Amino acid sequence: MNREKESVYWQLLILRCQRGDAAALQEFVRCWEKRLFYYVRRLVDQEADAWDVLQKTWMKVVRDLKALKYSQSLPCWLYTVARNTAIDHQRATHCGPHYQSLQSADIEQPLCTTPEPELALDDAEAVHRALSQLSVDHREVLTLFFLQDLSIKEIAQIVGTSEGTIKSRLHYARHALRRLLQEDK
Amino acid sequence: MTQFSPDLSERLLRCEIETPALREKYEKEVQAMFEKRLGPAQRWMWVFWTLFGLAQAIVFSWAAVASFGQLPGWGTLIFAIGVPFALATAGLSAWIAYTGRLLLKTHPPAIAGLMWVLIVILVTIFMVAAPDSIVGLRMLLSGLIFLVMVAVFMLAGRTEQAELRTKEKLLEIEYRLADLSDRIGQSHGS
Repeated sequence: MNREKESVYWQLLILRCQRGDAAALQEFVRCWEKRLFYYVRRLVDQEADAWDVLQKTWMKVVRDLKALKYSQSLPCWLYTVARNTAIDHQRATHCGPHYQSLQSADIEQPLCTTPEPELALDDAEAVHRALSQLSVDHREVLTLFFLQDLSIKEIAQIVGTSEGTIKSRLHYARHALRRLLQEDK
Repeated sequence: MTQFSPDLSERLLRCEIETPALREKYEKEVQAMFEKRLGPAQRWMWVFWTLFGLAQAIVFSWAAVASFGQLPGWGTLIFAIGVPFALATAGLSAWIAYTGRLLLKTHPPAIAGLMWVLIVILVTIFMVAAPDSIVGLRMLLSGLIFLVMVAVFMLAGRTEQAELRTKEKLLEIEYRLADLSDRIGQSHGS
């Protein structure tokens, strides 16, 4: 599905949800739950916590869906709700390293200007394993980048930081991922 | 540069291992967001509403027949209109009691609509039964206040629904056009 068609499809689905169409709401949940679960799972330690966060995310989404106007921002909005719910969950349960990291200050590391060698990502399982070994900040930006093909601006909106910081994080995250993939081989 | 095929996201999603018991618990919780499971006492309450709806239908039918020629035509008509709505109330209540599930997105608006019709009919009964005195006038006024409040509420809901339906139709056309241009693009590409 191209971007324009996809955008219209989401608008249509949201509108049907706003009209109270239960089937549309279930379709909406079905379309997004795998991606959101994958993202949330990368933010919290335990699988049970990830399911809890996802369920709470849906409760917030269903509650606030009526107020959503622009579907162009739908992926951004959904990932932001999921992220905030994960932070709230971590805050309520414990202040672990994940929570500290997600709450970390907007520190922009200098962006390396040397050209990056190509990073081939044919082996999805190896990438999946390597993601779990990255720092939570790096894991988060790479997950958003791989999952949804979001722009730097959109990722910055979700993470609540500047575009420069995201570019820098992506750069270092790719380096770390490449190193892990090479070690894996 | 990062080279990843467009289906990388799909392949990554397939790598995620889920615990079936946790998944099942989550699905139950999500389902609970869309519907409310009723306990035995609540089901009996819906049985009561079914009987109430049936009783209403009988009373309205009798009132429509008995008032024919005795009351102004609109009074008889409103009683007659009340019959299918009372039957609809009974039908909906019976279905909820039978399945033991209240669909939170569809049932409450339907129940609200049926309640509105009931209020209209009750106000009609007030108007018909009100004595020609200040007490009768008070009965009519209190009935009318409820009627106007509910009518404004229902009208606002209807207007919003109509607006959303128009937008939906426009988006359906837009989606078909986007689909068409996508197909044309694909056929040109091939």
